[in-house]
Amino acid sequence: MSAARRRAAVALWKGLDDASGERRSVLGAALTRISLGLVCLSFYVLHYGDRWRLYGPDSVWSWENFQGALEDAGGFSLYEIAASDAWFTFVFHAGMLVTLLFILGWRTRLVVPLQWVFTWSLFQRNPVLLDGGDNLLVIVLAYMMAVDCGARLSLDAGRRRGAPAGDGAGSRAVTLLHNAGLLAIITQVCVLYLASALYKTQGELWQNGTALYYIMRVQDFTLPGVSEMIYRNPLFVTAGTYGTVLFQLAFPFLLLNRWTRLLALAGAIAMHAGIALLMGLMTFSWVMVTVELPLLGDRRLEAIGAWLRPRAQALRSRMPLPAGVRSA
Amino acid sequence: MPDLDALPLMNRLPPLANAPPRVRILTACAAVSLLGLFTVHFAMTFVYNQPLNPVKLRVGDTVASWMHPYFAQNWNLFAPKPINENRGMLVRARVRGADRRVRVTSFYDMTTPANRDAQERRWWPSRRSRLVSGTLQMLTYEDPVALTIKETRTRLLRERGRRARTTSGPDGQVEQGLAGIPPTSAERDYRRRAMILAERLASLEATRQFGDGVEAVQVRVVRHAFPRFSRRDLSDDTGKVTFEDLPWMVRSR
Repeated sequence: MSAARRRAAVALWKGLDDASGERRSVLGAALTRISLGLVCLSFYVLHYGDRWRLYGPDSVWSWENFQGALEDAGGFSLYEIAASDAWFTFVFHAGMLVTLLFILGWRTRLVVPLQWVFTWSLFQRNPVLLDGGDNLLVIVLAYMMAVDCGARLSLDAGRRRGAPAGDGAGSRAVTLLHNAGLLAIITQVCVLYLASALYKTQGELWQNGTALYYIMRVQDFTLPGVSEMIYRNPLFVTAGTYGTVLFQLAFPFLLLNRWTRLLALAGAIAMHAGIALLMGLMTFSWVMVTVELPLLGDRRLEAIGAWLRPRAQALRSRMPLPAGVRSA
Repeated sequence: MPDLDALPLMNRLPPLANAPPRVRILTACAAVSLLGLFTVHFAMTFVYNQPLNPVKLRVGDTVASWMHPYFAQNWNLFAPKPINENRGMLVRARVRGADRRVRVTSFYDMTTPANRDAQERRWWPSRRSRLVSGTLQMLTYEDPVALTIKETRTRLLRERGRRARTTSGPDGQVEQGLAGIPPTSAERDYRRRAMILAERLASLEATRQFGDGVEAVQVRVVRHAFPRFSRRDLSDDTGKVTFEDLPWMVRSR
């Protein structure tokens, strides 16, 4: 064997050892789990009073539309099993319970697939309410099934701490799956940005730098009093239009280097904060940033947590809260 | 059997080189099959998300059948052509009064209250207000591929010095498209479902506004296209307003 081939074999072997020997970003994955869970919960809680009109058997998205669209797409929905009030009530509340368990991190190996099933089912029941953020959310939930997202910040964490660690082939396969799942999530985000940028570069209004003017002027995406100042200003409009395309094109390549990765994340946070504030697309931005969070890496997340903890405690001790809350 | 998830947290497993040969072989096999699946899936995802191109034209169906339904996605929002108009939904109703006489109400604006609702609860909005904008979006949906073809044809026709014909059916039938291209099957599906949705939503609102005597509803879709950016400050250019009246629809409940 030549020296070059031996070196390649060693590198390959080391890569395999890394990928199967250490679960990356378990803290980041746990944060993603909690954060996505909160978005799912908002579908149940914020719409609780409207649940019959939005998702019930007699919803504005009629049963005929629901079944027809489902049949065309070729998917399933738990809500389709029966058009009865009792079944709807059961599935809706079961979905809410599963979401709570998902956020708390209880038996994640079981609950994450359930969470995907219930969320997918709910989204099919009324697609009119959805946006791109929800589209990404349900895809990421599918990849989360591979990810060990219950190792931290979870009810499982305590139970797992005492258990004997496996280091056989099974444990290595699970670790490989975990790392592949995380990589899948971030690859999906890269494809999203690239596709979005490519479509934009084909549009006349994106080319001549005025697209942002039209979008910000639409009443659904306007922040009264602020948007107008921005969309009437040539500098803001042009910079915003080109900046968006440039960022989306650059994002995947910025991830290749450890330091530019932080730049990619900062750019994403800035862009999505802008979209959330100015265009009112709160959950969309929330999902995007949430999904990119594991890119920070657990060491940085730990550092941020360590920085936050004493400050949060100081803040809490200064606030006049009932004793029970303070001790919690 | 040990718990597969009970990995020592933030810790590595002992080096793979020290593991028994069986573990090493199984791990390598798992890695290779996972890598294969990953590569295929994301090659599909990548092609699926591209704008129409020669490769997609060729393998698009295969790719779509891999991706649908659970990985279906669409990232061409606001692109290539961003939305450049405000849309509004109005409803009027045929109401049978207590005296059995039927009268037609004036139009009631459904969009403004929905927008106000969205603005008031801006930071954690209920998506209830999206019902109206979502219905409008479905009613005005244009298949992106068909749109590209239409725009290209329109441009070619204009270049040849001919004006593109715009045919619009009588009582608000499906718009025939700029250059007389019939709607695609996706557009017809959207339209059919959008009509049912519009009837439901309009009937609910009409009943709330005009009472239980509502027998039928008519929806008016108003579109206000903005002036171009360069003309944004001209007081005599406030954009173009067009509207379409959907056919009367019998109240479903």
